[in-house]
Amino acid sequence: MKDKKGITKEEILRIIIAVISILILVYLAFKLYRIISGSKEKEQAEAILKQVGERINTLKANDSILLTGPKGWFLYMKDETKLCVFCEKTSGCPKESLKDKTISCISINPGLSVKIQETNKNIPIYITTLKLEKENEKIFLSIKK
Amino acid sequence: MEKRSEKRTKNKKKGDISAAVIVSILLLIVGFGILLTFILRIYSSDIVDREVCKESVVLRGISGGATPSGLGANFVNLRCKTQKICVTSGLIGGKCEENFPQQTVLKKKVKSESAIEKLIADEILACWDMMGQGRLTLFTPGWKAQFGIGTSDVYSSCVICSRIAFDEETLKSKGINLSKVDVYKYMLTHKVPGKDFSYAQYIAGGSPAGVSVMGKEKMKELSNSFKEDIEKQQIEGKNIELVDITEVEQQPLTKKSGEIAVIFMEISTPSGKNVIENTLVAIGGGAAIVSFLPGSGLVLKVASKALANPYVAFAVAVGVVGFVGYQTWNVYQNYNTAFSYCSDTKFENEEGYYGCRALRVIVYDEESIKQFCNIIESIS
Repeated sequence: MKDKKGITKEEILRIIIAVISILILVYLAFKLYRIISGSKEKEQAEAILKQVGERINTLKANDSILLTGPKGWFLYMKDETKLCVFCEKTSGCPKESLKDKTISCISINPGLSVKIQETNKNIPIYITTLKLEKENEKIFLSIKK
Repeated sequence: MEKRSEKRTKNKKKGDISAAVIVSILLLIVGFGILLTFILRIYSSDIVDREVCKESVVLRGISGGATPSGLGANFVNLRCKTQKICVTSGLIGGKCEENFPQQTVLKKKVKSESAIEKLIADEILACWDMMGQGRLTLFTPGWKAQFGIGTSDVYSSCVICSRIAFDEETLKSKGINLSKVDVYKYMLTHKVPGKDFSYAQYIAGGSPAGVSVMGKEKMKELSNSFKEDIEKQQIEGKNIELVDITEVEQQPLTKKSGEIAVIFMEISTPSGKNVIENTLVAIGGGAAIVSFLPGSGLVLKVASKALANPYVAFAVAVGVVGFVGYQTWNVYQNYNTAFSYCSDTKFENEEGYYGCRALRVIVYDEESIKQFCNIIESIS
């Protein structure tokens, strides 16, 4: 007796499940890569934070700096001694970058007093020109309009 | 006695490793070493090397091509840091402290306007090469645009390859006039070092891309006389071949700007055909999965009975037509958005995606960057 040719329903189901499983594995592999490589936005924000911090610490006269960071990220002063960056948007913020969990900060030189002259005391870092104004040892940060 | 000799034989056999095992172990070690090197280079925190950027670009390009609608590209982060360059002609100093205080800066000494033109042309070429020569899909529209259900997912993505600042004091002292610098003309009339084609031909040839050395406003002032001048120009004695690159007038560098940026920009949006294909694939795939779920037979029976009712069938038809109309409107809007960013370069249809990839040399300020970039993917 010859075997019947053709694919049975069970085999089709197995093939579909196999394909879906492979797709899930590929998706998880990409996710794992992303976790290992770190958040790109956090890296961009930290680079901006470092630049602004260094500019503040070496500021001699009024100056301005163009910030080209990711959307939804902001600079703010923590404890008046540290300049920090945090993320606040509907979705896509790394958990450790929310404001109450900020870990990305840079120390300001002691003796310098830095104040942010904007509502909410936050400065967005997404394509923004930051003004730095110096009066004696006081530095005022604002957005150039 | 016999037992001792058996033991000795067994002991001799235990120490015997086959060549295949040794080769396998060696291959594993070598493979692991290569993988580790690759991983360390990609994951390294010292992202200063353009090769690292290029590798991440290639990986993203491959991922984008390997997945439907290029969505895989979004999973690979680019490791590209903006290069800071100070153009000076002084022996001492020239770090452009005002532009790059306390930052790692590459100092380039020049003696003439032509040297500055070459420097900028070389930076454009390096950026072009680093970003895959315009042949890789690096930035794809989001899923909403892929299925025509939104207009917020089409945006221009940029990588700022270089920022070039000018030590105007030392340049002026050597009689170098920045307003005379004409990069575009230089790229049309000079060969790439070691090659038989011009900078412009290299960038324009064989890929859907363009070069814009100006802002959008200046694009409206295209000059026919400028075209005629170019036709008379020669590259090292041979008549140059005009390439299909939009011609623009070089914006003179002003005191206000003081700094220029070389930017790679890409934007794309799916065509109506692609949106329909994506939608049908999603519907087909969903239906196939649902058909294997328990109770799907009952659902199918109920749906068939409902559709047999003419009022229900009419409502469903209206819903389908309405949804298709909504998708068409979004496709049209997204098309206009993409065109607005590409009007001064090549706007092309590549595998059903409208958009462009362009290199831009712009004044490094908020206004110019906002004009061309929604998202910046490089690390400053």
